[in-house]
Amino acid sequence: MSDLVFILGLLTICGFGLWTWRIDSVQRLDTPARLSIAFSSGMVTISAAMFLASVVHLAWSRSLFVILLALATLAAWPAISRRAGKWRPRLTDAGILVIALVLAYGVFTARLTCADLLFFWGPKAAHFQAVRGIDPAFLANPNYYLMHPDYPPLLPAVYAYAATLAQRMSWWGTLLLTPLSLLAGVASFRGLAAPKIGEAAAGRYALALAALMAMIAVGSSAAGGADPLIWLFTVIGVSALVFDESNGGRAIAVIALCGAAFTKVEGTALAAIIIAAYAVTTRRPKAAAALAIAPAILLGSWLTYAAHYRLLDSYARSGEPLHSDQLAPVLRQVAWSSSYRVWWLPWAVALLLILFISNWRRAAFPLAVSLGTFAATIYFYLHSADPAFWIRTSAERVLGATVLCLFLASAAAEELRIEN
Amino acid sequence: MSSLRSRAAIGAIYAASSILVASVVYRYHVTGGLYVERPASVMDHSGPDRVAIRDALVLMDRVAPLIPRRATVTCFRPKDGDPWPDTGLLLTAAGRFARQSVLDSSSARRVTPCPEVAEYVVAIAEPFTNPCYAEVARYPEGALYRRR
Repeated sequence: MSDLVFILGLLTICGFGLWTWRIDSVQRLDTPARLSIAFSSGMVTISAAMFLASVVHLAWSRSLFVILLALATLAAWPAISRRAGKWRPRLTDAGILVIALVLAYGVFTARLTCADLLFFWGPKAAHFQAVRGIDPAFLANPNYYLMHPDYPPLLPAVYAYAATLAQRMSWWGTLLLTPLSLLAGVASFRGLAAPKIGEAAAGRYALALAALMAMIAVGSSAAGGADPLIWLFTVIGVSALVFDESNGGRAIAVIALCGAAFTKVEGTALAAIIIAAYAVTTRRPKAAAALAIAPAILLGSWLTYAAHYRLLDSYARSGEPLHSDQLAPVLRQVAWSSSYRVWWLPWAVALLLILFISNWRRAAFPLAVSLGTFAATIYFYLHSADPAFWIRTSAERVLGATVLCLFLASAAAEELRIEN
Repeated sequence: MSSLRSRAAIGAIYAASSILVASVVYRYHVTGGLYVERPASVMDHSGPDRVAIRDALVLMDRVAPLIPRRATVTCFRPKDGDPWPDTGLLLTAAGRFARQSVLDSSSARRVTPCPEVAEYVVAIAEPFTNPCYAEVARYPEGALYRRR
């Protein structure tokens, strides 16, 4: 029963993101896309609220969360009552649903559980739920150093939120976040892309995106870890900036960047890369700088908190030496370790679709993000004197965003094909 | 873009989707059964050490209700009857025993005076022979010990 309440708790996170329906660009989206944006924004909102509660020593509780949920829903009420954009279910939607169910089957037969769920995301969430707040003493315990004490709290907070409602941590429930992230990412992409490239093309690409995300999740054993959320925020952030050039599109991207930056250190790098790539490829440095404000404030507040409790670790390694002489072996190991155990098929698919790009200008931004995330991954690995084990256990997961942006480049170019 | 190229692109998208889904199913096949039964733990099909991790998870879930809140507890796979450090088990135990206080395996060493050792020991698979402890419950995956 508590597993069910935990899962329902995860679904109620949508309520905390309903305020985004006030944004014109979200208002225009179809219902699945609106719900997906609300779910993604809800994770950012509730984790930020839970962090704030911990800062002011307000204990997490069911009643606190119910009150916050009611307030969030009330604040969004005028937007909730307005009609969503038109959505006609297509055959590709059935395909996406089947893929999500296939992924859910793998998740619930324990075929793709991420070890990091057991080693740090889950323990942090379970402990925070037990003590009803973020516990700096727990994070500072030297025995738990490998839990990355200074990683931002988004994922543990999301799990702890559902666990507080269920009064118990549900390890099976945590795994559901992976198929939910796939559905939310795919629905957001399709909703954002459809006005630009047409319903049919958006549906086709959404189907392929679902298959790609599922394969990446299975090949990298990512369920329960933070990477499915990073992929979700990548898809939303890049799609919003590619397909919606209005202020509303940039507002959606800002929320996704906040989510990535508040999840883990690779997400912070991803947010920075997206902003830099946007500045370079659109030649709009002011608009790009505006994208950075909210993520910088959110992450900055967490890092200030972490510094106050002497938790800084991953975010304070800028002085570590770069082993640039290791570049060739690191590239070799990364290439060897990123096959997704299906002969590099996700890479092959993303590269195959790039062959059909006729206008590279539109594809430049997602391609730049893809290249940037790949370079950042290599840069991280080069800071370790012997990164072989690290690469073997993480390359497929952290390069998921790289593959997805390669794929999004071909979808972005589709727009020009229609416009031309 | 020519109509032919456009059709080829559409065909490539559908073909790629089909191949990716087939690959997912292939990966499920490679990881093997159980196909319809509910797994005993969330790690049953994951990673090369899955049997060891599975046993630890199953045992921790079984003994967690037997350990009082705020009690000190440690978890390890004993070697020759003694504690053996295992960071993975320590971190996993921190999540499974969130209402207790998890200590590292050195808290159950034979050289430590009995009043100072951890109150509970979860010993995976192998017997634990420190005389400061008495066995409370035994399962196929290991046993729970309490300080005498």
